[in-house]
Amino acid sequence: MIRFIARRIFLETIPALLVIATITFFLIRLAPGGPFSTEKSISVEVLNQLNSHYGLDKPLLTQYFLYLSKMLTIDFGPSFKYPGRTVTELIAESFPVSLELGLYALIIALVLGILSGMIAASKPSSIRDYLTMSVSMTGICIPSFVLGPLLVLIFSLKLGLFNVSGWNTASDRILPALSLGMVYVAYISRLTRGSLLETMVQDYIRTARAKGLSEKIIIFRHALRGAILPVLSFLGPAAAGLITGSFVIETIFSIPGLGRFFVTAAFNRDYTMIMGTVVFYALIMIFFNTIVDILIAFLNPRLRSTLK
Amino acid sequence: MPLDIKNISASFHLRGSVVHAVRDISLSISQGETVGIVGESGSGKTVLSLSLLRLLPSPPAVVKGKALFDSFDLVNCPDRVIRSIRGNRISMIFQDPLSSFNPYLRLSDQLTEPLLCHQSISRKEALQIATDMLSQTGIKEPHKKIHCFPHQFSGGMLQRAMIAMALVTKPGILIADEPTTALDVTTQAQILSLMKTLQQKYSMSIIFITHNLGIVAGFCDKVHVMYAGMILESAETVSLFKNTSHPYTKALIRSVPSLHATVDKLYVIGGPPYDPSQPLKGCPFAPRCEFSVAECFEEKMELTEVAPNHFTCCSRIKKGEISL
Amino acid sequence: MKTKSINAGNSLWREGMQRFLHNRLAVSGLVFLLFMITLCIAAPLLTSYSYESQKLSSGATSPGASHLMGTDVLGRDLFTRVLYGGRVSFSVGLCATLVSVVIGVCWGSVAGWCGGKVDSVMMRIVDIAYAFPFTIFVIILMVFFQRSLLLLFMAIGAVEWLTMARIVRSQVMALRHQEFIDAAIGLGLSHPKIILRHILPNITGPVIVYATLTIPAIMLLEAFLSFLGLGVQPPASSWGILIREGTEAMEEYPWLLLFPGAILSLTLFSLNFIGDGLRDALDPKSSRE
Repeated sequence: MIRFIARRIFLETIPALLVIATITFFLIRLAPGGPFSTEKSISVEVLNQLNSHYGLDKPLLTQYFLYLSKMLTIDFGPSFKYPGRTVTELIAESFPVSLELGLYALIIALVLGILSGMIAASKPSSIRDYLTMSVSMTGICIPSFVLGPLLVLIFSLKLGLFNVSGWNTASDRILPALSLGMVYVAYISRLTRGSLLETMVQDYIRTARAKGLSEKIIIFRHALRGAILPVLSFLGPAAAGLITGSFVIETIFSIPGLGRFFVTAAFNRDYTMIMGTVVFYALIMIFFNTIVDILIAFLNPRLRSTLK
Repeated sequence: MPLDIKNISASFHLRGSVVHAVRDISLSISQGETVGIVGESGSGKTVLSLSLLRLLPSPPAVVKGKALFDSFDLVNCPDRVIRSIRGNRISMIFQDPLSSFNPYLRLSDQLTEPLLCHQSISRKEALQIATDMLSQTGIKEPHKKIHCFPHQFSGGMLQRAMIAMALVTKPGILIADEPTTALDVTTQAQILSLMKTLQQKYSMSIIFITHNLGIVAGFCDKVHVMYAGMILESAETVSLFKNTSHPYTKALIRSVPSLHATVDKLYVIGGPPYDPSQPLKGCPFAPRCEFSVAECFEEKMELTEVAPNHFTCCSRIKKGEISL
Repeated sequence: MKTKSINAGNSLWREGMQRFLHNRLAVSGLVFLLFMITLCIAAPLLTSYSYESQKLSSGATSPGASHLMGTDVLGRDLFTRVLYGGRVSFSVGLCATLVSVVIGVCWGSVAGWCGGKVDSVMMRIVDIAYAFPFTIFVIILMVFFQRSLLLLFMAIGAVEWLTMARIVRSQVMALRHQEFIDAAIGLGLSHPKIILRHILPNITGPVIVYATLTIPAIMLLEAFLSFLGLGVQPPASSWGILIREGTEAMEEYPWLLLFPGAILSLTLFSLNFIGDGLRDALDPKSSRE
């Protein structure tokens, strides 16, 4: 197990991080204009001072290596747009908010998705099946940035049940989490249904039935084990989507999360903030995917033996 | 406890067509008896065995008739009754042990399941009984091995484990659907002898389904030969081989290559295999039978006794027109 | 997909076509899609308004006789903007899909054909990329470089090629080991020629299916970027921009959100149903998602 993790870290995590950091670094450095080009008229001397203060006058490669070495100590530098605050500080402040939002969305997606998939699979080609699958198709086709405002329109503006935006009360969590998670309810529901249908025709299900077990036990104890694996595999891309989705949901609902910071940073050409956020996201994704892979290997006995 | 099967038919209703897999079969099994059901692929023998425990998927499958066991009719009793009988008083084992076990659960979980489901005992007790049964099937170090996953066992070991799983509840009847077909010959012999031992120990009846006449010869008390969903001949084993009373059975016996004779060509039963979607008139084997005449295609099929406890439905044999 | 498509080329398509036509959802999706596309193309004929002409005096008006979908805050006719926006959204959808298909097919063919180390490396890259939100890079690209439509096409296309690459690779790998390929090599045909003439025509089925499923993903991405203000730039409109404007004004003028939102959703619905229908039609054995 340790060897597996160590191998993961050295052969995959670090190279992937390096690649992503490098791509981002050169992408923004190669862009026309600098971080201050959107400022209104700055005199040349001030511009030069700013550039040398932030080390932007050094040759590109030097900047690159300097940046990499600083990264090792988790020092992403100061934010260009919020002087006096470091990028690390800003990330530490805003990430927990996004994490909370993402977790709620994920839980909604998993619970609703798996349940509806199971309902649909219990009687294939019945009304139950078509209904659940059509509703879940809706989830895929109504984008989060349409669903979000729609929910706000109905529940906040017309019915007055929730606040229009903000992240203060407990009820503020509900609409954003729903808007973010609904798409994934759809995917997970379809995955669960398909996977359950394939599992239920396996020989070992017939054996379980021949032992006199009830259908409920058969589904929950025997079928779900195997059927859940594709859903787990989907969690990786789902997490990536949740990050992307957070950009728009946090913007719509004025949630002070990392997603909104990133979008603002991009618009403001806040180099350090952009770099820091991207590298941080990469780290999160890789960490998350490693956990998912370990979980999958753990749940599949054949793979588990090879882990040892 | 004896099982009395009366006029069971099983058909599958698919889009537009109906496939008759089992046509009006009646037979009975006595206490402690080993009954063999022999037939080629497509004869309906597996469908018959599955319909006894109502394991056929119900929308396409329609099962008619009666299967009297104790005071119940297995075909028509309520669901909770059949569930209480499955794995408890009648157990079943299947052909491919590796696909018949859940790959994600340990054997200990799967072997104790029938006990925990049908009896109110503790997990510890159940594990004890399961381990004990596993050792009786010849697995060494059962208390260690029982915690393994199915893929860690070989085919032969897994089939022993499946037998153990079927017998933990000491059922009165064991239905064995081609349990040795997936195994090599040596292992086959071991498994068969194991089944015989356990049968005697627990005075079980066994319904043994196979396509292999050779196995039947050494293992079963009574044999029913199936073709096209019908029983063509039933007899005690010795009588079946000595006084074969149906051309199909004779042809099956001739198809088994012998170690003693030298032949240039293996005997093959000619003609096309039976098509279950076509309506049946007369004897289903007639198109391929070397003795068939025009009447064979019209006659009503009926099993009649031609010797003590020896039944056949071949009308020409019944009339004494031919002898095999 | 079996390689019998070479000989039974016609009947496979015809069979597939029949199966497709039986799928009511897919057919209704197709009907709606064609309807929308026709409307958008015929926009100048259908409305006399220009998408930029503002009538500040009238402000936002609700749907009525002279304005089928009402007007927005600046007095612009919504119906016109939806149609012209549709033009942009559809063209981005098509072009960017083309880009992603080209990248995906090339990548997948090379990986599938070469096998071995080359394949491992190429697919490893796909695996890593699959898990990382490349949308982040597109956002950075769009912010920092010229916000041209061309850049938009390429950037979006570069995000969505991964699944296509995977599918093409597995198809190519399966074909690679067929005897007729060995025969072609034996005859001295160069590898690129073989790929072009023998392999690619046989994978058109899955490619078409996944291209059709990529279009809605791409249109969604474009709407997403435009919503954030990074995609198509005003005065041109796209559905994403319209939805954004609708969101800002929805408290008093809900139709400004509802119309573009509904049109976008219905279009995505149709495309997904068509894609699903094509997949079931051309390869009914593939597991339903």
